[in-house]
Order: sequence, then structure tokens, then C-alpha cells
Amino acid sequence: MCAFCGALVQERHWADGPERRDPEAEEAASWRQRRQAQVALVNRILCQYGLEVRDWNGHLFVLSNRTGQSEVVPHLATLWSTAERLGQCRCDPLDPALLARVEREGALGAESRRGT
Amino acid sequence: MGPDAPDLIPVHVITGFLGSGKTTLLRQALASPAFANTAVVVNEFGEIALDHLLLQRVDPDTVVLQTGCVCCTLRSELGAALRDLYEKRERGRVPPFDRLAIETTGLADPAPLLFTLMADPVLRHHFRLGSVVTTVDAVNGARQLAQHLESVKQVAVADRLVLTKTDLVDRAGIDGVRAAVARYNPTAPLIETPTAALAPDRLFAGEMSDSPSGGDEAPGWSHAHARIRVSRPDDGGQTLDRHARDISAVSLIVDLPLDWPAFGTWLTMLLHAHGEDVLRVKGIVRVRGVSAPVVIHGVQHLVHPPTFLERWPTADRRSRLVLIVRKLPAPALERSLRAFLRLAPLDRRAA
Repeated sequence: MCAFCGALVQERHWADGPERRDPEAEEAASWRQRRQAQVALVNRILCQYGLEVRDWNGHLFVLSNRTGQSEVVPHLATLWSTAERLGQCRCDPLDPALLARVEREGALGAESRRGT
Repeated sequence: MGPDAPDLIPVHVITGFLGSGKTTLLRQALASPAFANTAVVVNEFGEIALDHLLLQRVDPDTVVLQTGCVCCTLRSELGAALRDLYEKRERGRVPPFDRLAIETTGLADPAPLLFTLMADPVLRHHFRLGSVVTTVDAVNGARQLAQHLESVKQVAVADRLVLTKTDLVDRAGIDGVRAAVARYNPTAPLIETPTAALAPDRLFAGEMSDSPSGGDEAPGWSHAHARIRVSRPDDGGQTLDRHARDISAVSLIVDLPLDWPAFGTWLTMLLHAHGEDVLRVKGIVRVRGVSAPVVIHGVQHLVHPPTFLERWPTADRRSRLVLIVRKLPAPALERSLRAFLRLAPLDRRAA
């Protein structure tokens, strides 16, 4: 438990990435960077359902819907079931509607980056 | 489950359909010097009790679960049995065994047993899943795979496969069973017995030390520099049970390093939505920014913590992911993974 805010520090989840043999070699900056990238990417999926996630202390996620309901989730594996409840939706990565939007975004992103 | 967890006791699981030679294999392994100091857990289910008596003479540390099937109904009892065994080991009431072997019933779906080992909050601090070895009967194996979903699941979760009774079947018969097995698990090495000698130390060596092999690959993902191969459940001239027909092995090969946030997002979401239909995930992947290959290893909803291999097993440095799935179309899986990977910013993009 964090001595300052009382948050429970979760064990590392597999989706956080492979653990280095020497954990001390993984600098905090590198962890934060990966965490930010993870949050940004998940948000590009969650916007499909009117949801948003943000990082909390580098170890938890806070998931919110448009009405302001929020829940803390420990890791990505549990995030999707909470998202389904808060968003009244089904989170399926094989959903053609989701994939069509994600593909458009991916293609647009690549084009705009090539143009700059 | 790998060199990263040297203090945990490896738990090897021996599974396989009724009469496929699990107990024979276990006895051979226990007779090997490499398997000294092994505790054995078997479950009592009909005739298996007789096998237990044989095992008990080999190893007095056997714990017999008294009721039902280890995998389907006794997960808590299995957990309790293993905790009890560990406690006895710590108190010196049983010899300090170095590894544990569990023999499942022939009718068991091994997935819940693997869940117990991987997810139990107490067990996972003392034990780690070693290798899953599945025996397949060369005489009846193809028919069992065609008719029994349990047999398919047993083959699907294997790290190593042992084809037994090959001396009772001609070469064409053996090849037929090999093809049937490969339909559901194209990555696990298969050893033919008794024609090939068993080397228990290698048979139960760290799982995933063999990289998943992609085999023949068809073009695809050309714009994304990645390819996909789909192993179709061709019934080989037999009439397959509906369940068996629905299962296929899908091999995804990605040429460029994977963006981990995109990959992790995709796989967690896939397992959330379809975990029950993803019987097995195995992979060796190249992660952007990481030089060592990363091993991915999961059964249905559960994924092991990814680990590093010391080096790439072959010169091929592409990421290879094999999913053994039920009723999940390969093109949809390929499209989905590709779309998620393309969401990564270009400077982190994999495919």
C-alpha cells in the first residue's frame, strides 16, 4: 500500500510487459513512458464506447464514462469487463464496427505522419 | 516456468485420453535419475486407483485425491492437496522434493487444473507450471480426437506430445495420427514411443524452449509486412465431431517488432471477449526496444507472465503467435491484430 495515498500497489500484470531480469534496470521513466503509451492506446479503443481511462500512480487505472461514473481497475485484463458495465457495451476486438473505425484511424494516422 | 523463477517448484502435468499411456510414461519418468526427488499427485477415478498403487511403490509422496476428477470438480481440493504437500515438505515430514508431477484423469479437461496452478494466490508463490505432456494413443488417437472434445483440449494445451503404442500401428496409421494431432497443436514436439527413447529430462524441460514453428505460410498482410498462416481443420477423411471441427490452430507471423502496449491491449481484450474459445496461446515475439525474444504462454483466460529467452532458437527473428481457437475465424483474428498494431504511433509501429 502506498504510504501517501493509501492506494493498493498491485502486482505486475502480464499485460504490463515482460519483466526485466534485473527489475532495477527498468528505470521509472521508462515505466511511466510505457504506461502513458498504454493508456493512450487503450483510450483509442474505449472512445468507441464513450469511455476513458487514465493512469493512477503508475499501477492502477481509473475508468470513467460520460456521466462521470468512475471505477478503479487494477490491470487491463479486468478493465474490459468494467468497461462493458460502465459503457453498457460489449468490448470485442473482433467486432467489425470497432475494427472499421480503428483501421480508418490507423490509416489516417499513418498518412498524416507521412505528410508532416 | 522458466529460468526467471528458480526457487519455485516446477509442476509437470501429464494428461492424455483414457488408455493412452499416461501412467506408463510417468513410471518411466520416475525411474529416471533425472526425476529423483519427485512428488506425484494422481487422482482416484475408477481404474486409475490401481495405477496409483503402482505409483505409490515408486514414490511414497503420492497424494490421492479421493473424489471425482482433478480437473473438473476438484480444483479447490487439488489446491489444498498441494498446499498440504508443500507444508509437509517445509516441516520435513516428506522428503524435500524438487518437482511435482500431476497425472490427470483420461476424461479431464486440463485447463481448470492449469488455472489452479497459475492463479491460486498461495500456490503460485511456491509452485510454477512446468511442462504439460500429453500422451496420444497411436491406435485410437485419431478417433478420440474426432469424437471427444476433452481429447482435443488435452492435445491443445500440450508443450510436448508423446505418441504411444506406435509399435501396434503401421507407418500410414502413425502419420494419420500425427496429422490429426498437428491440426490442434502444430507447435508441440511429438515423440513416438516405444520406437524413440524417452528422455524424461528433456521431455519435461522448460516449456516453450521450442519456438512455435509457423510451417507453410501463405501471403497476407503484405502492406503490413506480416503474414498469416491458417491451419484448417481438414478432417482427413474422417467424420469429425462438431466440437472437433470447430477447432483450428491459427498462426500469426509479424515481421517487425511488436509494440507491446498495442499487443497487450489486443490480447487482453481478445481473451476477455473470447477466452473460453482460445484454448491455447503460444508465442515467441520480438518486442520493440527489447533484444531478447519474449515468450507468451496462455491457456484460455490466463496468461503466464511473459518471460525472456536467452537467445532466439533459430535465425528467424519474426514474432510468431499460435492460437488454438474454437469457432474464431482466422481472417478476423488477423484483421484485428493488424488493426490494433497499426494504432501504435508510427515511431513505435510494428505492423
